[in-house]
Amino acid sequence: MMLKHVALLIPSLLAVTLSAALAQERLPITNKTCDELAAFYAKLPFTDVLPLEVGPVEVQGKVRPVTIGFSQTGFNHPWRIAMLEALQAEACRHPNVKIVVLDGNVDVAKQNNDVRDLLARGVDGVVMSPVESAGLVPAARAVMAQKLPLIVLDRDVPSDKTLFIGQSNVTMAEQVAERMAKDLGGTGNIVVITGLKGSSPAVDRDRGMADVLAKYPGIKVLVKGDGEWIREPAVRLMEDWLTANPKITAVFSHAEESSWGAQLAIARAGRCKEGIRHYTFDGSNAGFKSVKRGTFGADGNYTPYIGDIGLRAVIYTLTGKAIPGRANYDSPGSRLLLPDSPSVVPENADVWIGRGWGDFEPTLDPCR
Amino acid sequence: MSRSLPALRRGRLADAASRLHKQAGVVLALVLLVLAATYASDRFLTVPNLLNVLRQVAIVGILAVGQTFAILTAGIDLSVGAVLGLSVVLFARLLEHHGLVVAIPLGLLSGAVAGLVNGIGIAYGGIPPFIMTLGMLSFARGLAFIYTGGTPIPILNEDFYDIGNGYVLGMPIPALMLIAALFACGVVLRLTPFGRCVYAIGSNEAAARLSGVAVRRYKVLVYVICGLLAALAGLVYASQLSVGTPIAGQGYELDAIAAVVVGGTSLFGGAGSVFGTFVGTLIIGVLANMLNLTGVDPFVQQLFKGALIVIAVFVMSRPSRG
Amino acid sequence: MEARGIWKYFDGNPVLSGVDLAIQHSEVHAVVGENGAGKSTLIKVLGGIYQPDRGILLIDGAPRRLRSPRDALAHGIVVIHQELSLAPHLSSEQNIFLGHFPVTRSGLVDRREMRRRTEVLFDRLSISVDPGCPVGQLSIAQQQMVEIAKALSLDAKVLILDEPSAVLDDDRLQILFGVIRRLRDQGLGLVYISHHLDEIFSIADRVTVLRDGRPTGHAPVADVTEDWLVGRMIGRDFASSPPQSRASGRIAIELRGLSRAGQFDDISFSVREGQVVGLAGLVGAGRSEVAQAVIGAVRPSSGSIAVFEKAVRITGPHAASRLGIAYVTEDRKTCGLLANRPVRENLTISNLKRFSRLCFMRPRHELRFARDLIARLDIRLPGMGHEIRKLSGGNQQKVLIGRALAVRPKILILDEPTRGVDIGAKQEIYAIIERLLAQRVAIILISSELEEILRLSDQIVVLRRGRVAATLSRTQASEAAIMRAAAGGL
Repeated sequence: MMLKHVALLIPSLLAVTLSAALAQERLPITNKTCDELAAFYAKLPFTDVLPLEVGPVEVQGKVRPVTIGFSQTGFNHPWRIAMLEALQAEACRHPNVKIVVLDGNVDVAKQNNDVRDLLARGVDGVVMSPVESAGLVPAARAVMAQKLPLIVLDRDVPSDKTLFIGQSNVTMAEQVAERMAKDLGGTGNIVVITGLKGSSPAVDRDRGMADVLAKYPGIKVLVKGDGEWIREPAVRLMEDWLTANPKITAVFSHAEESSWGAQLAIARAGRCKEGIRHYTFDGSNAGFKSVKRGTFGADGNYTPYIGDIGLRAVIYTLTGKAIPGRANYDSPGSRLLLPDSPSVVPENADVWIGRGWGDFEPTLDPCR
Repeated sequence: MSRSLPALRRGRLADAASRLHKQAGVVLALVLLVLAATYASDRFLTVPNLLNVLRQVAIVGILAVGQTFAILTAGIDLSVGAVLGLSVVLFARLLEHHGLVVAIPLGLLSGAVAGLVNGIGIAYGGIPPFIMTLGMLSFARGLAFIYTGGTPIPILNEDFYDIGNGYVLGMPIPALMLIAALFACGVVLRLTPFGRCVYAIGSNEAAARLSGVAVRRYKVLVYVICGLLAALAGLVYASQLSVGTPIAGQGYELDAIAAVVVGGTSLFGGAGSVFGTFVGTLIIGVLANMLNLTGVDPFVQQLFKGALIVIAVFVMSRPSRG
Repeated sequence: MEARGIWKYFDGNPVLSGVDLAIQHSEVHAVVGENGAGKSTLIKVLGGIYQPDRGILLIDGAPRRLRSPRDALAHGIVVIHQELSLAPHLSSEQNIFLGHFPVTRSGLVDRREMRRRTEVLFDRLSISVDPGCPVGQLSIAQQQMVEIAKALSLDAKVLILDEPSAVLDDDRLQILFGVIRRLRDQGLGLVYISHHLDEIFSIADRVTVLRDGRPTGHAPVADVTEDWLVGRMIGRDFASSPPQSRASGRIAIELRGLSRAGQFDDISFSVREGQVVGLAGLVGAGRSEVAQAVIGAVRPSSGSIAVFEKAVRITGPHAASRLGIAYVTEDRKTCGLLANRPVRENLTISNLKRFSRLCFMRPRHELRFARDLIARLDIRLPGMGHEIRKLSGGNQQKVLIGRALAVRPKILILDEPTRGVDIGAKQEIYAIIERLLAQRVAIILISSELEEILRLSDQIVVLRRGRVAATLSRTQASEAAIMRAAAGGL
C-alpha cells in the first residue's frame, strides 16, 4: 500500500516541476527567461569579441533551425552555471538557434558519452568545456571526424579543434601573487589553500604563485592544504593552522569560498586584530565586494563569461565568417587569446562590481 | 559449560565488563593517537585546539550517530550527506524571509521526511537499504540543486551564525549539539525497548519478527532518526559556514560510515554502540587535526586516513578471536 | 591417522582435555557425546582449522602439524561439515572439481574429462545425479553425496562426517549408510559424528565417547550396549517418566479448515488447556507451515482460527503474542537466535513491554526475570553478558523456550523442540513441557521423532501432503499407525 503511494508520488512530483518549468519558458538549469537574459547580456565583458547582430542566423544563405550542443564539465559550481548563462543569453538573441545542454557530472567518462550523444542527435556544432584536458581527446576527435565546428572553452584539449578560447590561470595567479608580494613588502608568512588537489586550475594557480614567490625569498609558505574549492574544508584547515602558527601574514587561496571560510576561522580564533589578508580567485561580484570592504587584498578575475564567445565562434564558423584574432599556437588547432582581465584590487573594485559573475552577496565578514 | 549460579549474580557487572572489553580496543587506539599527536605538535594538547577538534568533528559526528542506528539494524544510509545538503539549502532559503523559529523546525523536518521515505521504501517496499538510500542520495542532491539553481545562498542572519560559532559554558555550540545527540541516542539504544529492538533486528531480523517485534515500524523509525540527524548536522553546517550551498556534505556519508566502523559497530548489524561511534569520530578527527598541525602534504594525508581505517578495524577485531 | 592427548583451550577453559582417537583404514569410527562435549572442536583439530594447544597428530605413524584445512587436504583428510560448502549455482561436477579442474593441454577446463571422472565417482558411490544440474536444485541428501564425491576426488584417505544424519530422513539415511559401507570396504577410514545411538549401532565399528571434553569410553561397537553408551555420555542416570493422563480444560485454540494455497489444505483440530496435540508427518508435509500460519507469519488463504472459542484474525507474530500464542522455531540459527546478543536480551525480546515503564527499560526487573528463568529452565551459561552463540545447542534451545515463556503464553507451539539437542537436555526439555502443562498451557508439538510425539501427546494429528491424514487419540497411537498415515498406507 505504502509503496504504491510512494511510487505515485515521485513521478507526479517530477511532472509538476517539469510542467512548471515549461509553462514559463524558463531555460534549463539557470531557470532564467530570455527577457531576463537580454538585460544581463548588456553587462557581459566580451560582447565585442566576435560581435554578432540580433536576429536569425543565415547558414549558406538560408534561415534554417540550428542546433548547437553544449557539454559542460558539470553544474556543481555557480561559475559553471554562469558560463552557461552567457551562452544562453547569446542564443536568446537568435530565434533559430537552439541549445542542447548536457551535464558532465565532473566525470571524464560521462562527458565523453555526452559529446557522442550530441553527435547522435545531429547537432550543427559543439561547444565543450572539458573536465580534464587529455581525457576528452576521444570526444574531440569524434566531433572533428564529423567535420563539425568544435569550440573548446576554458580548459584545452591536446588534439585538433576549431578554436580554443581560454584564459591563463598561470598568468592570473602571477598577477595576484605579485600584488600580494607588493602588499607584504616582500616579507611574511603565508598559508596556501589550494583548489581540489590535482585539478588543472589548482595546479596552474599554484605554479603561477610559485613563479612569483621565487623572486621574493622573504615570503615563506608555512603550509599548504586542500580546500576543494569550497568553504567547509578551508575552515578546518585554517583553524588548525592558526593553532599551529602564531604568526600568519596572509592567506593565498585558490577560491573565494575557501577564503571566506578561512576568514570565519580567523574570527573564531579571535585573531581578527592581526589583519591577516586574503589573496584569492574566482571573479564573482561578491568577491569584488569583499575586496572593496578590505577582506580580500586581491581577487583574480577569472571570468566565466566566455560562454557567449564560444557560441558566437560556432556561428561564425557555420556562416563562414573569418574569426579575427585567431592564431596558431603550440597545440593542434588554433586559439583565440582573450585580453587579460586585471586582478580586482581595492583601487578598481568599484569599476568591476556588477561586471563579475553571480548575483549573491558575500558572507558578512565576521571580523567587522 | 559451568553451572555457575554465582556468575549470574554478577550479571550486570559482567555485562558492563564485557562492554568495556569490547570497546577497550577502540579507546586504546584513540589514546595512542592522542599521545602521538601530543608528541608531534606541542600545540595539540591545548584547550582551544581540543575545542576546535570537537567543533570540527561535530558535523560528521552527528551524521555518524544517525548512521549507527541504520548500521545496527544491518542496514546503511548512503543518503545522509545529500540530505544534509538539502537541509542546508532549505535553512538558507527559509532564513531569507523568516526567523529561526520557522527555519529550524522546517529544515529539520525535511531530513525526517527524507528518512521517512527511505524507511517506508526499505521496510514496506522491501527495497534493499543500499539501493533505496542510494536513490535518495541522488534525489535529495537533485532537489537541492533545483531549489538553488546551483548557486550558494549566503546566510546573513546573525543569530543563526551564533549557533554555529558561539559558545555555551565555554563549549562550542556544535560540540554541545554532538554531545547532546550522542547522549540522547545512547540512552535510546541502551535503555528503551526501541533500542533493544534495533539490536535484535540487526542481529537476526527473522527471529525478531517471530518474537513479535514490529520490525517494519521500527525500521522506518530508524531511518527517520537517521534523516533527522542528517538535517541536524545540516543545521551545524549552515550556521558554521553561513552559506547554503547545494554541494554541502558531498561524500560525508562515507566519512560517517568510516567513523561508525572504526568505532567498532559491525556492518552485519546487532553489535556496536554510539559511544564507539563517538570514539571513532574522534579518532578520525584527531588524526586530521594532527596532520594539519604538523603541515603534512594533503596528498599524503589521504594515505594516513585510509591506513588508519583499516588498521583500527584490524586491531579491534583481534581480541574477539579467543 | 591418530590423535594423541589433544588439549584445546578457549578463553583459558579446556574444551578438549587429553583426547585420543585412532582412525584405522577400513573402519567407521563413531564419536558420540552430548552437545558441548567437544566433538566439533575435535573435528576442527583433525581438519586443520584449529591447532591443538597440547598433543600431537600422527599421520601414517609420523607426527604432523596441520596448519590449515589445505594442509589437512594435502594429507587426505577431508571434513564434511553439517552446513555443506557447495556453490549453489554451479553444477555438481563443477563443485566437485572446483580448485582442481582437469585441464587440456591448452590450459582450458577439460569438460569431457571432468564429466568422465564425475561419472566414475558417482558410480563408486552408486548414486544417480545429473552431473550438469546446479547443486542448488538438488535435494539435501544429493548435495551431501556431491560433497562426498568432492572429498573422493581429492583422494581422501580419512573422511570425517559431522552429524550427516541431521538433515536426512530415514530412507536417505539408509542410502548414506550404503555409501559409507562401500567407502569403508574400499579402504577409507571414516569418522562418524552423531547424536543418534541407533545409527552408531547400525554403521560404526568402533566408538569413542566424549563428555565435557574428556574421553570417557572407547570400545568396539560390538562389545557395548546402548545403556553403556548413554551412561558414558551423560555420566548420570536419567529416568524416563511414563506419561500420565492429563486433566483437560477449555478449548484453548481451534483451527477450522485452515488452508494456504500450495502448502496445506483444510486443517482442523483443537487443543485444550493442559494438553498436547502432536503434529506428525514427513518432512515437507506442511507442519511448520501450519504453525507459521497460526502465529500470523504467513497469511492463510481460507479457514479461521478461534482462541478460547472466539474467532480471531492474527495479522502477525506481534498480534499472536498479544493473544497469548508463542512459537519456538525449528530453525534456531536463521529464525531463532539473536546470535551476537547476550542471553538476557534473547530471553526478553518477545515481551519488552513487560520489562519497561514509560518508554524506558527497567533493567533490574528484567535481570530478575532472566535469572529466575535461567534457574527454572536450568540453563547453563558462563555469565549473563555472554553472547548466546557461545552456548551449546541444548542451552540455546532452552533460552528460546524461555523467550516464549516471557509472553506468558496460554498456547505454545513447539517446532522440533529437541532437534540437535543432547540426551540430557532433551529430558530436561520434556520436564519443562510437563510443568507447563500442569500450569494449563495448551501445547502444539511438531516433531519428527515418533518416540517424542508418542510420549508427550494427548492427541496426534498426522499430516500428509498438506492434509490431515489421521487424527489419533493416545490409545490409538503407535509408531506403526503414525507411519502408516504419514507415508500413505504401506
